[in-house]
Amino acid sequence: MNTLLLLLLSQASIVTTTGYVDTRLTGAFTQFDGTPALTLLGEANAQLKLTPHEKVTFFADASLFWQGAWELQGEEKDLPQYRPSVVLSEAYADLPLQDHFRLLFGKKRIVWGAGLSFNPTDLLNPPKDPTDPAFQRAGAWLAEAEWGFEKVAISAVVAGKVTRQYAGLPTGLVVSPDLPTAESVRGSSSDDRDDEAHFVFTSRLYLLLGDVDINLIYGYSNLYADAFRTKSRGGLSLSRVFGDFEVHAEALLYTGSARLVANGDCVDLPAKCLFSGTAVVSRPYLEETWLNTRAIAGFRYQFGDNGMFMVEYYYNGEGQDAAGFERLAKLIVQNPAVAQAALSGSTGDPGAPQKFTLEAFRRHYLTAQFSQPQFVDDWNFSFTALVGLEDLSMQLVPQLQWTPTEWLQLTAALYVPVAGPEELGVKVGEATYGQFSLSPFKTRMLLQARAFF
Amino acid sequence: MTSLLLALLLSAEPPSTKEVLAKYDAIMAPPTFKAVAQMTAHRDDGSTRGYKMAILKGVDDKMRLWFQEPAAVRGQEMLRNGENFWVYMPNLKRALRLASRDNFQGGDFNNADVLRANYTRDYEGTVKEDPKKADQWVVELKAKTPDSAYDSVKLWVTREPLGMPVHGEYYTASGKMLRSADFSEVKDFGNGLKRPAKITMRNEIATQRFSEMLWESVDVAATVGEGKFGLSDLGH
Repeated sequence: MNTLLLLLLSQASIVTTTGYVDTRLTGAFTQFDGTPALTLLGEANAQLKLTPHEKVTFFADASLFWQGAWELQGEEKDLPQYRPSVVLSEAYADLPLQDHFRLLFGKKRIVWGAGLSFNPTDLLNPPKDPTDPAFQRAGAWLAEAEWGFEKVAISAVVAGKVTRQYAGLPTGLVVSPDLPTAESVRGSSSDDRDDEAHFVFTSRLYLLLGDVDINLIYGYSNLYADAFRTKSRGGLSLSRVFGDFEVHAEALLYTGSARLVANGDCVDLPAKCLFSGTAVVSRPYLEETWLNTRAIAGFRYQFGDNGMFMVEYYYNGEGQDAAGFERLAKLIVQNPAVAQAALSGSTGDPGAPQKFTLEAFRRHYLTAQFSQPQFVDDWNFSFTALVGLEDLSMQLVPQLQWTPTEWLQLTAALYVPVAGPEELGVKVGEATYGQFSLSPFKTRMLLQARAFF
Repeated sequence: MTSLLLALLLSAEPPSTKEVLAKYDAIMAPPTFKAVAQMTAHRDDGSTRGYKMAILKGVDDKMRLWFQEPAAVRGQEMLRNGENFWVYMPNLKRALRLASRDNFQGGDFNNADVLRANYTRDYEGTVKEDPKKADQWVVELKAKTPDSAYDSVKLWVTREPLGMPVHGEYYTASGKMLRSADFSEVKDFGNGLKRPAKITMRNEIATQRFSEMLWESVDVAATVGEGKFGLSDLGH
């Protein structure tokens, strides 16, 4: 076995390795208890592609994260989300059995939709950072069959939810493990096991028609990435270039909603509801038959000097109306621990730690991004604004990047949440909040160094 | 003898544009091939950035390109199918549509220079003599389609062999010169293919900038599978 491995690794033509080491130092002004003002994350990543035969390719993308968090607001404690971790973003065997047919097994991120900051038709993968969509590479454990031609492709994927994992490897897939965790036995966490099969089947028909990329998508899931049971969904994605403009749209159509609704009677006094057995939050629309959608439409414009401007509008059918958002906001501000427990749920594999995560509470969002590579020598600049259109609160991310050599990137970025006009916000006590100013951080500064090899 | 040959050359009638462009395409973009090339972008401050790539060309002007170096872009791929260009971003795990006139990796070539090398299909024009260059024809071309790399092109090619490019000038619709290219180091790549191994593309707007494309190998006898030119194959 070792001899075979050595033989394979010694043949440079069939082995490709790449990767990077990365450090992220973040300093922040915090506003909620339990939030660290200083975090440090170190990542060592290796990506290995091995092709021992023309009809077999193995690929793995793994990262070791060392993390630390200091200067917590309130009581100092060890935060689980900042512990060292291993993330296996992808690990799969790719078998192109024929010129136009392949099978693929393992963990892979497969994205069919044309959206950049959001992909409403993505039923498979851990969520991505809308301000830096390339940062999330983690995929799902799946099996795929694909027939691919020049202008037509048909893909079918079945994926299982990771119900428990350690060190990046699943110990429970599709169904819950037989044994409870030691933490749940001790009573320090709840036993989230159930008797359900957690899976998704999704397929797509790709067509290149009239120079338009068209993806018709069907999905059927059971408690996979959301609370829907045996849910069918249909999706459409379009993308085309008109001169220097790339225009795209992507939509997912389904019935009902997995929206979380806070019980108005419990928002001010959640303890009372907990004692009486009343749910603080619930999902009352799961079985509804009304039509719902999540959709995105946008364009990219490429300037002659390689600058790029991108705008996307996102409609989130899972978002709250004004009253619903007000109840949730009060719960988050007044009882962050209860809100955190209600919102997090059982998310499965979260993928790699992101620089920014969005909990899309509302329905209408606009993402605008401008980037200017090499505006001076090796300096790149980008500015991203993620705007909640109902309350005009926003997340602004200006970023400066310097690439002094081909293998080194140094980045400085600011994450600035802006509350928006007071009359559109939610008043809790003396303060007014917009959805982005509900973030535990007031403003963060991130310094990042990444060296490629 | 030399004077006689020169006189004969000078007195020769120019060949048709179609004939010259067909020869040019046969030299610079044979129907199918597998190649390895390196691009070096020289920037205003004198520094350079190098890229290494594997290129596959299929019939009907389909092209696929894999970036191999540097490590920061390893895994990135490009695909052309007809008027459509895509770039596969390994971190995004999907392909993005591109415009054909976008710069190629921030250098002085654009995507169409590298991925869309069919002048017969894209241009029409006239072949003339250049009194200063008796051994060359100058081909003045206008784009047939807005998807062509440039609005107009002036191309100097050798008379013998016909169609071997020597120099090119590339213009906007208003007549402003955007780029100029020198084709040099003619090399025998085997299987009957002799072509310039080096193309130096100068940026005529930012005149300190230029990019060099060095073709290390071009194998016109390689088997080129049709399955490599579908969008679904990118990233595999």
